[in-house]
Amino acid sequence: MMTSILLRPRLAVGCIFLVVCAAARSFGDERTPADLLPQTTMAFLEMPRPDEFLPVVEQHGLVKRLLALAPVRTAMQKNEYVAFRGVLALVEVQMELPWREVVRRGIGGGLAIAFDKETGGVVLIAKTTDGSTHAKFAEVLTNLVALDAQNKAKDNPVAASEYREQKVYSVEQIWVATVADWVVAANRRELHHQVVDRILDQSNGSLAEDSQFAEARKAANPSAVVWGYANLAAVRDAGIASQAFAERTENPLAEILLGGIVSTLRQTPYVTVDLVVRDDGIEISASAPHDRSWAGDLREHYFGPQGLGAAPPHLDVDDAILSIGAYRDVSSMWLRAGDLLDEQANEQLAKADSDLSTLFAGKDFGEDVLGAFGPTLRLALTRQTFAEGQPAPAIKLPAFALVADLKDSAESQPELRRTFQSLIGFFNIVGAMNGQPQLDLSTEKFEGIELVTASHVEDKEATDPEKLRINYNFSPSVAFADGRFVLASTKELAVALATAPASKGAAEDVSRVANSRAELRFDALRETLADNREHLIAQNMLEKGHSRAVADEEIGVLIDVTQWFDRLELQLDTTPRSMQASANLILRPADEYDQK
Amino acid sequence: MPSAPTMIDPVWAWQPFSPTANEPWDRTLVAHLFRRAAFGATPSQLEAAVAEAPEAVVDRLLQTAEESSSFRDESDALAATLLSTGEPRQLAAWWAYVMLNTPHPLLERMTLFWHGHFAVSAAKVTDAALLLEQNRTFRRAALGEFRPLVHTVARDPAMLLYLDSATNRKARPNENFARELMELFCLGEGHYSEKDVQELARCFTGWEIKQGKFRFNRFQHDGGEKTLLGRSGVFPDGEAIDWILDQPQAAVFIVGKLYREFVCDEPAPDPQLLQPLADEFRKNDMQIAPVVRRVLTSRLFYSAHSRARKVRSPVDAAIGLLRTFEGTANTHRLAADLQQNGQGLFFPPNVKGWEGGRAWINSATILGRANMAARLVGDEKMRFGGGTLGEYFARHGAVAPDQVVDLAATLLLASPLPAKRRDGLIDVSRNSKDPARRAADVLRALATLPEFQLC
Amino acid sequence: MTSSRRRFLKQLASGSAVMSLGARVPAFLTMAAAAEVTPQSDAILVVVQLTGGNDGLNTVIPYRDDEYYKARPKLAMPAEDVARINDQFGFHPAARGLADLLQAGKLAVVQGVGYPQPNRSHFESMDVWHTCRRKGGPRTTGWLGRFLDDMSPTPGRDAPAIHVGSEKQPLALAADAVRVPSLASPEEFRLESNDRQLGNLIDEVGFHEAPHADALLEYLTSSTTSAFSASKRITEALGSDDSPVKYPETELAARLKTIAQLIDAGLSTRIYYVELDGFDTHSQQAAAHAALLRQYAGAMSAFMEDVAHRGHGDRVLTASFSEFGRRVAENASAGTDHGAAAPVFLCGAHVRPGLTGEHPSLVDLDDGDLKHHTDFRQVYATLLERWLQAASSPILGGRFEPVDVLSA
Repeated sequence: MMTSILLRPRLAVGCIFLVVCAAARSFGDERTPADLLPQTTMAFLEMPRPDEFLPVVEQHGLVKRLLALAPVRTAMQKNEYVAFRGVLALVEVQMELPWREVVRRGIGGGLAIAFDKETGGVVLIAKTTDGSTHAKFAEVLTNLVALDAQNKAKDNPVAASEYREQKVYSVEQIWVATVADWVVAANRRELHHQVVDRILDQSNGSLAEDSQFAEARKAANPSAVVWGYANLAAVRDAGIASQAFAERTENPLAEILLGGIVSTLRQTPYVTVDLVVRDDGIEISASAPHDRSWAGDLREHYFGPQGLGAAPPHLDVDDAILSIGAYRDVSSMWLRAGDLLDEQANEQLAKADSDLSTLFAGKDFGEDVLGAFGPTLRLALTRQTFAEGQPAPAIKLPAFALVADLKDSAESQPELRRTFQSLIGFFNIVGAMNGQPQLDLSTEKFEGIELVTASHVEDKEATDPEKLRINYNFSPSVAFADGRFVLASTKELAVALATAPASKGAAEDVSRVANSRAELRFDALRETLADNREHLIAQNMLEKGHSRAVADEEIGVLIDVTQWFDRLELQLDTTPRSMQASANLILRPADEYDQK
Repeated sequence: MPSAPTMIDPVWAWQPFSPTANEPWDRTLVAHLFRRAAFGATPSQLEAAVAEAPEAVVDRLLQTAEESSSFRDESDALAATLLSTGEPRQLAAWWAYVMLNTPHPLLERMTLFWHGHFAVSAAKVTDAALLLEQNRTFRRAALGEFRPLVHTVARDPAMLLYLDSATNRKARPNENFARELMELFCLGEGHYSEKDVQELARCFTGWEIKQGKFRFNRFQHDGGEKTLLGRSGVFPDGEAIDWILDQPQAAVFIVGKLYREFVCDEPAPDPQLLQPLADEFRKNDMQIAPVVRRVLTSRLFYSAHSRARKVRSPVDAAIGLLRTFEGTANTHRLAADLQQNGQGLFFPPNVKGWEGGRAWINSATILGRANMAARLVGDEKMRFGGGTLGEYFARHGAVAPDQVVDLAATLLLASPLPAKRRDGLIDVSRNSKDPARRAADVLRALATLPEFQLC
Repeated sequence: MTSSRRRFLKQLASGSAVMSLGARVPAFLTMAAAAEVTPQSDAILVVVQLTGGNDGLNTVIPYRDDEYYKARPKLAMPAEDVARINDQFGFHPAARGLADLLQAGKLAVVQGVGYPQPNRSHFESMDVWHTCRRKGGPRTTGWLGRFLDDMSPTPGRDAPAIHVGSEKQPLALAADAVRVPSLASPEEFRLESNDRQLGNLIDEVGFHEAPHADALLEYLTSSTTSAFSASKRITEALGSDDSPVKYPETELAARLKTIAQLIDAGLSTRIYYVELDGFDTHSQQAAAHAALLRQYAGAMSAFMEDVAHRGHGDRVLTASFSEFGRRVAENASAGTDHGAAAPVFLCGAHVRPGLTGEHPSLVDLDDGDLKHHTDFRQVYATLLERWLQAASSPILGGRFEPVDVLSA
């Protein structure tokens, strides 16, 4: 029964790999997996020191929290997991070692997976730290599988053969062998042979000797537990994912967010990835050589005229859920759209241009309207709070705001104000036809700040003033302060942003700038979810067919999980020679979380 | 439409059905009752009801006075939460959820019946709060008294907005509501004159909707004398409604609609056949439950004149399929599927409601129903009696292919499954070894059969 | 019709085309043949609604008229750019596809279409076009819906009309008794699980074994059989899409292609309805309007070529309208505002190609708008009587003289 799981080929390969890993004997070989791979390797991912890393993972706070989660505990009682534990137990008995130790010894000298362009194959290479006497277990296990198959009158899925006097096991076009310190598994026989040859022959011309690879590896973060490399030049030549490298996109939003990254990926020779695990979080970053001349003027809106356009600092507001800051010259992007977007998107844009120009009283949207703003953008999404007893919407949406600098506030301020006022008038006319509540405009000036707000008139029909309809989340407002333009979904947020001290972007190191950055804060996110708990439960009931109790539990888990994290930071940095995108997930300190 | 008048003896028809050796109270008849009155029976309900007397089972279905308040509270709270989105489509998903989970399916079925009778579409009346209020009105009165229901509907904001009667001035009476009140709600075509429409419209002048609420504007009301259906008078305060309901035709018209709802789509009943029901309706002060009880316990209802004589509505097809196997569903998706198949909840096609019968069927809806059924039983995230569909069938003793097919056919089909089709379904069930997939395959295939479209 | 038979007929058709090239049929014979073509009972009408108010004046352009250049200082098309129809009028250069259709003798332009006391609200004017009723009275059915009610289609079979699109169904299709399905894609018109057993299950117990005594069950059995056969044909039409016609990659083109596939699958559907939105060009009109016309004309010419290639050219007619045209004078935002009379476009093998009716005068205006000389209900009367073979008066609520624009 228990061994029947071994008949599932993938699992069988995994088990055999595990056992042969543990069985391989160490010969004090100083080579790394990159020394064993061909130069035609297109992608390479390596965990150089698993023996240090695996215990860290096991002890990591995030893993503990995950294992303590109710749905995970339930899943661990399911048949599949129990069967898996059974196989592990079997291995432990045979190896006379706990399975963790088996893994540690088996792959402790390093683990790598690579994709080879030449053969189109994937190869997995592991180095053992322990040369003790476990070799026979490879055979024990394969015998076990064979026996199980025999009992069920099926063909033995494992075939054994030899290559250069090394024993090779194969299951469904996957070849596994242990050679000296190494265990090699590949899904192409030629690739498998090549790697085994290198182990035995110590031949030249490996990936490690490739100059581009060597250059990339030199720059690797020494504390990275996982390091990856992709030869993008080769990827592009092979025509893989050509869609992703397309010069013109169909999606304007993708161009705003990723246009600069894609333009670099179209040219850069390679990209590397580092994964760093700290006690308080995980950081993953991708770096690539970058040269601002590659994109020419086409992506000036993205990188700035010197290629060093810098994102402004995050907006300073309370209860921020998401904050985004970026260097983007939207006006020049709008005007260059012909070269950036594909035919269809441009036709859509032409229509949008006509509609928007109508809205903006006949001004040209790209040139006159967007052209009034400086090349930096900031966006904030914040939790809305409502005082007890005060009118409040039943569904509490986050407030959001956009902040941009005005090139010439004397000229554009009156224009923008008028446009906003006529827009509110337009909303009121359309809203009245659809039975929506009306907006009331008012203007305030104080301390050099001009504020135009539109608030919904009081809903006299409402039966429960704390459960107003969704419209009451909005009091659209604009503010002008110190050359800044604030467009916010609520008056409160507009005021907060207009009165916040204007923090000028302190460009301390001009050789490396953050082009774009975003921060997601989990405390405010969690509270927003909790504010809307009833509504989330209702949607969960309708979408999943759950009873209220089950829906309540699921939403509870969702909110609970957000307590694990403090924030997620995303950043895109550029230097004159490189570009780096990173994601940094920071956990909430354990003591803070465990108090809950 | 083929409607060869079959003479049915009215006396025989409405006598209480009592089981005999030839016509035993068996699973076939119980399943028939539950399909018509309760969106289908689960295997356990079927077994329990077979052991009881027909009247006892019908009485329990009608038992809504002490409706379990916990479900009502839960569903009210759910509706209130969804209302804040202001989106009628959210209400459609909510109602599908209620139909799926209610402990009182007959009440919900009758609520849907009145929604089709007093049809108002969210395509025009977009205020979800008004639609929900109207839906609650229908549910409260679903098995109650017809007369107060009509009075409430005549002042119902959603209805008056739908029929452009939100303003109704003395100088220009709006005939729309007056006409529909007689033609569609109370009497039927041919039982009033154009003059009656004009006179009735005068009675409703000054009945207005202001900011979502009914208001009587005495300055716009025509207080003069009118002559309506042969009687002259001022008809203040909706007295006209009472006069219309006093017409003998009113009772015949309503029991006729109930007849079509519960007994058969076609042929149209002979007036004489309806008369005993109309008398019963009148005798009980136009209370709905006694008529429904009379129908559901009658000889006619359990005879060949009624069994398999209705085309399943999309709601019957979907909710019936799920309730029979205690299934859950993504009701947003389900509501959209119902709309695609011609029965969007809160979106009837026009003031006449859904025509029903053969009109449900065309090649687009046949395929749409098959696709809907495939989604309902094929969604692996959904639960049937708390587990997988395979576990559900196994719990009720259906493991082998023929057992699965037979259980599904007994519960779902109103007419016998031809042997060749049964073989075909057994073949289908052999496609998969996984019990959940196997059961889903059978149900999916079964739901595409013409036999399944009968109810 | 099975697909092999259809293919055979196609080959036959192309074969006879080759033969006719060799034989050089005398011209008077082909003309006689054309004149004899009478509306067929399987004639199909495809309605294309240009939502938002198409600027007719910049679609069919009076490039010799000085008034045009005076009224449109920013938006006028230079005479040398228009795709010429004759020595006075030409199409907007983006509407190249329309010029191609005209060249092929498949396009008729009915000029100056509108109605008395035009309403300039989108919703109201669209409702007038859809229902043929003015505000005030009940407007629950549309002109096509009333046609469907009158033709009383066999219930249980293919839908008599199909709206292809995901937007709200147009009021024009609202009927008393007939329900029109809306499909966003042909996928919705076929079984999602493409499993042969299911088909066999239905086929095996077809008419032969169905208990004939039960009329309702027989009705359902024949409906199911016909639905499955439709699904099968559509699946085939989608799978073996051997039409070499390449449609532009636009939404309208994709929808028209769906219609071509449904027609080719042999559905008995008579009416198809699609929309192209965005014609409300109040400012910066030039680029937006050009993009719309390019999309419209490109999709139309591909569609007409495709249906002809698939062998249905003789029985498909498309009619394109907009709820109103736009004002003669452009506004200060390089756009145009809501107007009145505008052209209607009819495409098909049986139109009298070219312009029908005068281009409305640019001087004799009604409050700044072009005056109509042809009531839109006359166009409807033409379509109903001379193409769909239906009595038009009861549908349109009165007698309207058809326009002489179809070659029959």
